[in-house]
Amino acid sequence: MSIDRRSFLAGAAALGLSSLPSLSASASRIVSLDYAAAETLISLGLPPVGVQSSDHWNRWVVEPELPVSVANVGQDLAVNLEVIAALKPDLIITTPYTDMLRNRLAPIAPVHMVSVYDQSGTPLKNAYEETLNLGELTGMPDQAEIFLKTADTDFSLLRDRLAQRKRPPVALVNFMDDRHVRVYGQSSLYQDVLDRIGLENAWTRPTNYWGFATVGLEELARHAPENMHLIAFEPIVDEIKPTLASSPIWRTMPVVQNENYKVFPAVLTFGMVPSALRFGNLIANYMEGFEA
Amino acid sequence: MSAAVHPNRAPLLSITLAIGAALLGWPLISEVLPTLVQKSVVYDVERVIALYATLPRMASALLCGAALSLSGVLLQIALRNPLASPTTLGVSAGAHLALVLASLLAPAFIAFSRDAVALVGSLIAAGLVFGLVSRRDFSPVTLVLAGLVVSLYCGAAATLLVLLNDRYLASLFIWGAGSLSQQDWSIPLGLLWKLAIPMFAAGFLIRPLTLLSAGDEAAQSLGASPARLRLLTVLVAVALAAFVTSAVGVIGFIGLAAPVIARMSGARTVQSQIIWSTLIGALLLFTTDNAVQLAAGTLADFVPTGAVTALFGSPLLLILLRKTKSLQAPAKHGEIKRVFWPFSVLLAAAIIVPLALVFLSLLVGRDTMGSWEVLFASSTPDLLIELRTPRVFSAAAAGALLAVAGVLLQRLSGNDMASPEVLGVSSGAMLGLAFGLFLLASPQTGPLIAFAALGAFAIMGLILLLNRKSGFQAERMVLAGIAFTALLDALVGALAATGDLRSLLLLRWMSGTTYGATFDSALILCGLTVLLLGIALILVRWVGVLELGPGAAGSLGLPVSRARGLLFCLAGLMTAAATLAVGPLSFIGLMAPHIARHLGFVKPSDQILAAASAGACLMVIADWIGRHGYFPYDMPSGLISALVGTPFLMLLLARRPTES
Repeated sequence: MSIDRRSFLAGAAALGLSSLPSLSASASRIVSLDYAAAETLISLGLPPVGVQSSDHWNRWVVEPELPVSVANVGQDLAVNLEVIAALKPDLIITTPYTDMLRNRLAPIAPVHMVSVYDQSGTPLKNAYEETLNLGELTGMPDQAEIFLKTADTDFSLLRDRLAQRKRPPVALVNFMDDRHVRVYGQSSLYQDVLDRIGLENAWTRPTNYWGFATVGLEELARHAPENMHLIAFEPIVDEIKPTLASSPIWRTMPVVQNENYKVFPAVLTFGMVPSALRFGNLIANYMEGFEA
Repeated sequence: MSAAVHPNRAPLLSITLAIGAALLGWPLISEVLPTLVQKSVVYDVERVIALYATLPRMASALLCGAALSLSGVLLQIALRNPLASPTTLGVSAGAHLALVLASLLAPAFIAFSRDAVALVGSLIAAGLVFGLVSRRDFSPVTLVLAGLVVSLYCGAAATLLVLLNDRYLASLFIWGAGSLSQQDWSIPLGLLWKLAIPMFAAGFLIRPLTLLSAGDEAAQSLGASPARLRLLTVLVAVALAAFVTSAVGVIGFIGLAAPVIARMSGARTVQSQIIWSTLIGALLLFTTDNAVQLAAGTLADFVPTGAVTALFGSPLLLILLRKTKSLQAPAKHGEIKRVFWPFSVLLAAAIIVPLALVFLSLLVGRDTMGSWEVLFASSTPDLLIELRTPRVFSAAAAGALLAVAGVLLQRLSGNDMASPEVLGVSSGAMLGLAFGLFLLASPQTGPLIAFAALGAFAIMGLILLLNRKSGFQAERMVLAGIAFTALLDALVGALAATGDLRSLLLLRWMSGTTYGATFDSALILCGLTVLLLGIALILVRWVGVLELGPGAAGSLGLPVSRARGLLFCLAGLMTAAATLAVGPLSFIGLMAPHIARHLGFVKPSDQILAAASAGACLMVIADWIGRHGYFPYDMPSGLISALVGTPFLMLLLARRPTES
């Protein structure tokens, strides 16, 4: 798959069709307006010089660790252009969400949009391709290939580890308030990971463009299988936990009654390959843990 | 007119409402009703939901509706003001801000007592409103204007706090305000006993209030102190509203609507007004909430009922307006030492002072690590100049535009609490923007601005159309503007409540930032400013003539209503242009005219120039704080100017010498 993509890219570049910005040299000072691209760059061994809202990294991404040298360039929809300019980047990375700033960023440095979420609904596959793109732009195509090969190996190892185990379906959620969750399903990064390591998603109903549906807890109870396990990701707002504990709606849910409920540390929901691996490891460890 | 001629139809209306409410509520519980009575052992989702979500929600709606309406009717009776209510006096918004502040800064207070926090917030807001008004006439319109300004201010502050603290969870936290969604019975049961005390107190107030309604003298002769009685009644009303806000958030306009409906359907005496308002309010909120749930389906929990009641309630304010007699009192201006500067000197000063600030604000900034630095010391001075110039000049231009719009509105309405924020034009611009964001596949700045302008003009046109018959009478214009502001805020709130990621972007726009300014947009805005200011200076002599009164103005040969309409158009244009640059809420248009007058510039043309200069300076300072104050985050200058400027304005108003 990746080879096809590479040869396509080479061909496209030869025809002048490439969507990648043409850089005079490979980029080394990169500002990322997206956590996902930043985590990929860190994994490739070239941390960005600036990231949006870097002070919130540990709340939403946790792993890989963000080097302290990385400057904070402000909030993603209103990044501090003065700081970005002063960092003298040679590449700025946006997403479809932040790409409306392109006109403001272009005078400072070439802009490249990393798009993991699109109509294709295959974020993990897209993340692989975008990782190769980033490798290309930073002059590290080989590192990118090696990183993805390792990821492939890791996913198959996880699959093998789980193959002999009991694998109940899992519902993956973020709490929105004390009665509503975002549940991840088709076209989410989590779905792709579950597919690769041979697990079943408890939520098979429709999801939106970004691969989630916002539903009440009762919808979960109604539509998800009885034997499911419910995984909620941090961060969970402080007010929610005590309210949940006293909520009859929550306490009477079979999944809570059976104690098949677990809180996971934060995983970047709209992440790329590093987050996919992080989630894969967490869920595999959980599956191995509850049976013991 | 006696009660005999107009029989009290409120009981009939209440029965009708109750039947309607029952019809709307039935579909929500009919299917599960049988399961509620049987002792089930099997887990049944629908039963749990009905028992712990649907039914407590209905109970909460009834309770909150009753409490808010009782609060409203008490305020209306005590203040003799048909427009008074927890919403229009800023009481609910004050409680909301206090809760947000406490949950972010001192969660211990919240843990101790949410209600106490809400009560303190409400009392401070009410105190502020009465403080603002106490030195001028106590006319209904002035009081409500002050209340709405305080409301808008509290809302702005709460939004900024949330924006700065929890960006990613922001949408629900904000728009969740005013949601009746429940998990169990704790909220309705808690409310029941908390509300019992003030409701009981209200029962005791009926008799003395009846005496009061016969006139202060009658009450005094029977040994009741009218002032003390009014204060007590207001306190009870504030407590009712505060408890509700603490439990479910801000639910707008029920407290205004229910008493009005009760009175219109024939409740005349104090006792019948109080009883029927409370009952009608309870049923009204119940009906609205159930209608929302039926209409919104699975999204129901995300559409804040508070936003929907505002949606229904604001047209009511428009209707009321037609019934309100003109209550306009001439603005009282204290003894201010007037200053007369030659026009050329004033013009020069009005240009030089803001320009000096503009240059200062271009020069001083921060480096990548946040240390202060002068432009020339930086490694990329050209780029910094390029980035800062459009923003600083846009801020200055927008400040000047809003200030002049404020002068025009205040002088035309003879009301020094009038400002472009309450004209509705800013909200129109925001609504246009919201549509743009949700309709365009890939929203770019250019088309978005076109959408915003379209929205602003649509609302301005509508307000002008609605007021054509009344000859653009100023206070009606302003009240119509307020009604539209509330209506549009509710619409935008409902749009954002869907939890879409774009709502965060909308929130940013609404909080007002020069972030989007480019060289082109700044150039256009500055050009518009010069042009519109010029027109204002030419038309300003009309203002002086109009202030003599319609009769005198007419006899001087001025077509009164056409002149008013044109001047309003001008103010609307200025507001629309400025809103695109600094958002709908900056209060510059309220502050700058006052500053100009306090400096002694009273003559219309002098006030315009001085206010424009003051507005530009304020906005440039606010923008500079926004860009560098909370490094590296970019704070919206519109909100900063509102937060920094409003307390300052209140000081100015409070220190103003009273009429001798």
